[in-house]
Amino acid sequence: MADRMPHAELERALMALGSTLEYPPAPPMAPAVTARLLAERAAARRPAFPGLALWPRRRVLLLAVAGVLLLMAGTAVAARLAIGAIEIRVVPTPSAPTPSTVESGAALGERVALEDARARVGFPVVLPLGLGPPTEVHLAESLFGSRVVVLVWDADASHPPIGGTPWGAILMELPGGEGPLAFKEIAADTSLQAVQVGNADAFWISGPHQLSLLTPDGEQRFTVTGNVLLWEHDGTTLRLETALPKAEAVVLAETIG
Amino acid sequence: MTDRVEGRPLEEAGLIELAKDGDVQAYGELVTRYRELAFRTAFLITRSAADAEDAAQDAFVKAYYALERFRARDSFRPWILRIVSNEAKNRLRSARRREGLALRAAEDRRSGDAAPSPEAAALDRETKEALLDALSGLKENDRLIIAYRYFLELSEAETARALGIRPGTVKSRLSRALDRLRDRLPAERDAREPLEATDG
Repeated sequence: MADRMPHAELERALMALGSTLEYPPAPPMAPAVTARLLAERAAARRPAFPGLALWPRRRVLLLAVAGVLLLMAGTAVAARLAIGAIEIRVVPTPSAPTPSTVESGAALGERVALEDARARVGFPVVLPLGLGPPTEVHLAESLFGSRVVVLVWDADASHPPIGGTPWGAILMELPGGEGPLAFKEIAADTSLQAVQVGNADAFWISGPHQLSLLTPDGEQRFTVTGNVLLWEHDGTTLRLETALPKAEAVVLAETIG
Repeated sequence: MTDRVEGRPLEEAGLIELAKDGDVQAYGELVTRYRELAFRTAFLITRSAADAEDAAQDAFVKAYYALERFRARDSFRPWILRIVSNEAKNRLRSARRREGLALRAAEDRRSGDAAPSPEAAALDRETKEALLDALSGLKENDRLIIAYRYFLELSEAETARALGIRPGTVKSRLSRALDRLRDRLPAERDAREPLEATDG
């Protein structure tokens, strides 16, 4: 039987080992944690929001938006829960998907040529590198009368199809500065992580969830089956949906500009 | 081994009180302080960066709601680690399919980095690998008590709280874990000179 290392030596060796262990870098966690806590609180309380002159048919929607905003007013983490024109609401159980569709075709709004889209929206339309020209470009009118651009690309070997769609990537571009135009409603157990796209704070949402677009005709609901990155680029809110894992989606997102 | 909790106890206690009153920002500050430790703890259990991140984040959310059960006299560090380790273990059980990453030790540090301790410098690669191999074969509880004491440098009292065991049993459990670790080390190693460089 070989000599047995005394405990004292083993302990010293373990401490020495501990000082050289390699760990992956710890991600920033506070933004995601505080965002989840604020969102859960907002979803639970839904406080009334008095004093705004509202368009009647938009009242209900705006109440919900305002409830979230009111709670976050004055807190530094507020901006982390809202990325530009998109609000994220974490709820214990997502609403029944009624009547919702997977984002595709006509559901995404009027189909236009890319150049038309560029001419008709009030912000620069940006594209990722390496995907080529979009397969389809759609324009949807937002609650405030501005336009939201939705670009889709066919799936290919490097960009597998998003569940229920033929698309490998869906990029939504929303104008900034008008307040929330869309909600994401995610269950508390859906993964919501704070990540970075370049130098911009971003959210990564993986797992099925609901997306609601606020349009002049009401709330348009979509079931989201892909993985989503949300961030802001030069004042435009970008939402990139793919079936890619986080690291690859971030790489793709960082080519946009 | 010293107890590092002494850092800034008043400030931390203040943050905890604010968080108990619903101040999410104050809680975010606590998260920032403990995220590294929480993540490493979760990683030592799950050996997957993604699972460790999810486990730590979920643990922080759960801990917020459990704050009212946290007693001001206690140390926050082992309390949060216990929640983190439970989350990580749950995640591990539901994700057995995944093969965990092996823990790795850094190669010799380059000049410009902080100087390694004499022990670290002397611990040769073969010994590191043998220890890591042996550790990976241990049961979870043995691995965790060793990790808490020697890798994350928790005091005995903190280790007891983090594991939810009586302080008096830390020594005996640790001793048994070390025995089992030693049993897994290659028999041919000359244990009398474990810290000295070998010729390979």
